[in-house]
Amino acid sequence: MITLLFLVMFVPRVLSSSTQVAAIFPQDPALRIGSSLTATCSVSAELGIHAGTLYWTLNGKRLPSNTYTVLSPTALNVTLANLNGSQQQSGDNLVCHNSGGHVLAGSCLYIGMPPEKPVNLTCWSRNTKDLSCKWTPGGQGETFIRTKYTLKYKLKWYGRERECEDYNLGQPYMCYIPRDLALFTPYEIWVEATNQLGSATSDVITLDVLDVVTTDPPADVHVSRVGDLEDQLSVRWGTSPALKDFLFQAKYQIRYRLEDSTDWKVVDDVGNQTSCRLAGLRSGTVYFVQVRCNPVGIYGSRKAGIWSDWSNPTAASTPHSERLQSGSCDPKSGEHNSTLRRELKQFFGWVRKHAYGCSGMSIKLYDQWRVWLQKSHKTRNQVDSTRR
Amino acid sequence: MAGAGAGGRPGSVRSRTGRAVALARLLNRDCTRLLELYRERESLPPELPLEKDRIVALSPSAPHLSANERVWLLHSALCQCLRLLEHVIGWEEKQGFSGEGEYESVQTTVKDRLGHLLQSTKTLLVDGEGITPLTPDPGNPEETDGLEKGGIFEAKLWTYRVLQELIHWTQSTAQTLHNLHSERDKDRAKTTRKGKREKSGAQS
Repeated sequence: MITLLFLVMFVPRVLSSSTQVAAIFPQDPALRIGSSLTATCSVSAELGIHAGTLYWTLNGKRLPSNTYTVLSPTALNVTLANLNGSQQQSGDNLVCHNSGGHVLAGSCLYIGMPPEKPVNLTCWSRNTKDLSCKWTPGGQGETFIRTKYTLKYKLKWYGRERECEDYNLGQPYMCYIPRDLALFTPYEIWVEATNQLGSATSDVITLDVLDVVTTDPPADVHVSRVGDLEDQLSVRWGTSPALKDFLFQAKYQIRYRLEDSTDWKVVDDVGNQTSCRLAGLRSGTVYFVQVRCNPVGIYGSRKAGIWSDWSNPTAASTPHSERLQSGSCDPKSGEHNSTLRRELKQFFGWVRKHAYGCSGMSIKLYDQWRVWLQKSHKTRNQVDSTRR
Repeated sequence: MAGAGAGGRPGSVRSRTGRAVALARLLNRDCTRLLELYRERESLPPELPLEKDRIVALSPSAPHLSANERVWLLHSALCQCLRLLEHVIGWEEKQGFSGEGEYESVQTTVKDRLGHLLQSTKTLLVDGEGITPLTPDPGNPEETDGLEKGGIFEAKLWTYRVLQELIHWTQSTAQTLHNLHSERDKDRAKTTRKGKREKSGAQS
């Protein structure tokens, strides 16, 4: 194997020699949209190429020769007027070629605008443990060249300035501070936007972490029937365990909708109770119910809290009315029966497939099936609309 | 799997070679697509030539090399290609040029498949576990010069060359391994014929 070493050679890792005997000035400049640029391509005399034979391209497109000026036998200028924003983040390619088209040298142009001050800076803390902040870029947003945003914060009275580090949250203009946050002392928070053409700072917001607390959605949401009452359902839920050590007054909201509707009805006078009865419902109907929590007044904070996300939907059905169950003399009862038979057939098929090993049949299982049925309809609809 | 066919008993050298050939061909197509996407993304001039000078210059086709030595050279070259690609990916991330488009997606595929191909070529070597791929002097910073030494345009040209390098070496791997595969088939056929002749001679 040793003899092989003589066969092996890693070639010096440089660009082709032609790029070293020519150069463009300025190299990788940053310019404002609408400005002009004069660039020079200088070739080494050793190449024996006259500058008059050279030509320029910008992003692969040849620039007209009336924009060129031969400065000397080895230097050619090009003037670009009223520049547009950069086509790619890595800069527009301004390239100098010899008459045969060979690339002699290149320079990347960063054309954009300086950032404007970021706006709409808002922050929230999940269970007082962390802080997330988001903002909107100022002005018209992106400036064609990369702008770096830095969220900075400090304790209002005596703290040193710190920088938020975690920007990889799956969405832009957002940062996450996971720990080491003080309570009962206000923070000053702001965002700095910087690019090659300048920088801008947002307004400073002042907040106490306790004033911007949100929490997890209520856990264990149960929805059940109220005896045989066909127009009512009972909802119960647990408080967020994350806030159990804090003194606060939770506020809750409930929303519910019919299985085949997208309109939610909100019940917002639930207060701090952890159960509620929904009345005035349709009989024999499946409802989806969600609950959310607002932790108000943690340790006496006077700010309105921030609502948590809604809990996962829980489904339940109201009992069928007597009239329907008995069949009565409804002229459409035959239709109802056949629909019911079809639905039951479908349901038992599903039970065989999905609830294998489960003991006993219950109305809960039926509700579960309705949720599954609706989800699969939704997925099918999405697939259909994607195909369309 | 295209082309060579991964014949041979499962787990045999012949079947492993067949699989490596198929993987190298697939990767070669990925690399070609990656270069196209890079050219589009960076609006590079169409006049960019195909480089004849290799960054990784090895000669796995030299006639006096044994099969094992040839695979070892290919493995070393691919190893070097992976390092070059990783440097490029790191540099693009540092510069903030990477996004979430098709280029980045194909780039990830190429990196992953290159890792698999390295593993495949390693298993083809006699004493694969003990093998040390040939690498340039670690103290020599030339390897990343193309990205760090000049301006941004030079770094783009370097990236372009690295992608060409990947195309060359995946093509070379597919070709060389395919030849080895065919040679082994011929040897096998010869041995079988010889065995049959000896057997029938002994019977008569």
